[in-house]
Amino acid sequence: MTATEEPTLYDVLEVDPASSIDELREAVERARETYGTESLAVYALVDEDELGELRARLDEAAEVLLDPARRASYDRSIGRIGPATLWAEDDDEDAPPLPPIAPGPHARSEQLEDDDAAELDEEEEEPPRQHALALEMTEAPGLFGRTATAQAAPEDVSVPAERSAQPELLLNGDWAAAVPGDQAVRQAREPDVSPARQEPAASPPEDLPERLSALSERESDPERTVLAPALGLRIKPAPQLPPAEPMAAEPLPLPPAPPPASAAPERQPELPTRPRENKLKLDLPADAEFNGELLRQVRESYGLSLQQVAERTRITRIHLENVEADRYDRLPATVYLRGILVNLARELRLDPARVSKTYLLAAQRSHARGS
Amino acid sequence: MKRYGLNNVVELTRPRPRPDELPGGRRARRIVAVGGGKGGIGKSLVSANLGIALARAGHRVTLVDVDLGGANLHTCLGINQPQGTLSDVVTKGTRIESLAAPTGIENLSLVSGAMDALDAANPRAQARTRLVEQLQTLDADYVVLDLGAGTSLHTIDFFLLADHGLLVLLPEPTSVENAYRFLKAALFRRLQQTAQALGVAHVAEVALGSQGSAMRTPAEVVKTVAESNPDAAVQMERSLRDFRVRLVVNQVRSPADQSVGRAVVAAWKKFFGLDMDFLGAIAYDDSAWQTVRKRRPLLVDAAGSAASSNVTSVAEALVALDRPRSAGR
Repeated sequence: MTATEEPTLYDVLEVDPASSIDELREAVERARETYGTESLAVYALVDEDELGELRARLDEAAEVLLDPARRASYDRSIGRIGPATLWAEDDDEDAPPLPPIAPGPHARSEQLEDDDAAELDEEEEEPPRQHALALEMTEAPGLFGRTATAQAAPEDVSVPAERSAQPELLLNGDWAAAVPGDQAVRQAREPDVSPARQEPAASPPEDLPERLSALSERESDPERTVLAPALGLRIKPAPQLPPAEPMAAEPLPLPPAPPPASAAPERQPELPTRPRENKLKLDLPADAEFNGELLRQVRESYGLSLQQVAERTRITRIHLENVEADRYDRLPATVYLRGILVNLARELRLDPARVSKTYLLAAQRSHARGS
Repeated sequence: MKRYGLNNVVELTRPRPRPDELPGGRRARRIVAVGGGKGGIGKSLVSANLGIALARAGHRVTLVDVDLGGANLHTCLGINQPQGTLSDVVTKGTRIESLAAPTGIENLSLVSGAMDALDAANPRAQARTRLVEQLQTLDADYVVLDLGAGTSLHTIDFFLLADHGLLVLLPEPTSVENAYRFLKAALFRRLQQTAQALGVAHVAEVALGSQGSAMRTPAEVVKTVAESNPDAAVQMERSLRDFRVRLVVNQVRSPADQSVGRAVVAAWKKFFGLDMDFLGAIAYDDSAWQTVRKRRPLLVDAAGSAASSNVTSVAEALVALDRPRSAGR
């Protein structure tokens, strides 16, 4: 990290972000030994205020990082993959590799072109701000239970985007309550681990337009009405989805969240927009070399916008854009970049190891050429 | 400034040529300064026995007692005070080489620092400069300086000119407190000297504040300098990286004491952003003070003791630090 960046909780604990829980426990113990009130090593070294500040930070680090749920959430907020990296291996053992890489039975070319066109329009014609709002909508308000948000000012809607850009927001005590979108995200993920998780996939897509039109009635923003139907097109329930068990074993970095303080949305997630419930329509060879372009194609074949991926993975949108554009020089250090790639690959149902390996290799080659 | 002859010291404390820069690939001597701020923490015992351990490992070692007011290194070694002392360098212009007396241990000689003249413990700048010059040209592999207690300028300057500033502390609050005071004083002086040499003293002055007040971290000082003079900041940073203290924890009695070394290294890095090397802990050992009473060196009289093997490990760790430098680059 550079000097200007806010130190992460990992920095505070002086551990590798990829540390196991045991390593973290050790680090916490070590920190207590070094900076605790009993420690000789800090006696008369700095003034008490400074020491108090550090101790508070260490407490926070212990609290967040030793709690797998909070750690995963924190990792995402800083665009880094944490324990999920380890889980990825379990994942491969428990769950048979999902069919994503297999060629899709559907005629994909037209679909892709449509999506491409839509994406291009969005990218080129809309100013970024509106873009963000519009893409936000493709998440479907029902899913996030943002009834309140729908009537709120645009500033509120943009909160999640700001959040990902400012991870330190997470560090402020009652962040779950402070960030309305976050609870919603957690809730949206919850059903995946519950037996009821198949419901979304089972709900008939014909249901969608209804909901969406109901939606657009509530929404006065024309941008949203225009984009909403596009969502319907993108939903591809996968009938040949693997049985629920392995899917349920899919470890979600966000285990059940504490019950939200505010009123729980009545309408629970209904829109199956997660890629795992879609079929990848790209024909990817097993030895595919992933570069930004290919990752973009995969993302778009799921009908996912950058903003959606950013929100799901908590990788900042700028990083995602730079990954897809192969702007290696603007990407973070390899250790972080690998986390981003693994996270992204998982979201796109690709082999994380393969994606990070081939992408990093390409980055390296480019670096070697450049210097 | 005039009072301390700062400019001379700056000249002398600048990094000297590294081994690969010496003609004929000759190995440069290493100066090890053993300090720690507080008295009675075993600086002399560590110096003497470190010297013995290094000599036994085949290095030519000269021990120099620069505890000018309270020199007693000869006592630790069990020899009589040598005839000539450092005061001769100051008063008579004697060369240090001619003062080096044999110690009865192969490869190890001693220059006594005992100074009987009233004012001798605080030699004038000119005399100090001569001392420093001669120390740096002594014909030896290792020159081990036994520093006095306290944070007087000449003590700190000896510490700063050394290749290895070795800090001895005991796992006791009083010792830790004094050790930090000593370290901060040394760091402050290093920053001040570097800023002076680079012509950015006025900028650094503001950033440093006065020595008594809470000191800013070195990184903050460098940052302030960088605003007006980026080149100087780069050089300051380099000079700070050289401020890499070697730590020895003496009189360790418990596992908790054992961990103090590591903790001090971590805390120093955390708050000052600087690396420190922990060379090892030396066990509290009855045989250690008994050997002092007998005026016999620990490594000679109680060679099998835990403390003795700890000192040997410290010496090995110290030599290991030099190895990559002299081999690589």
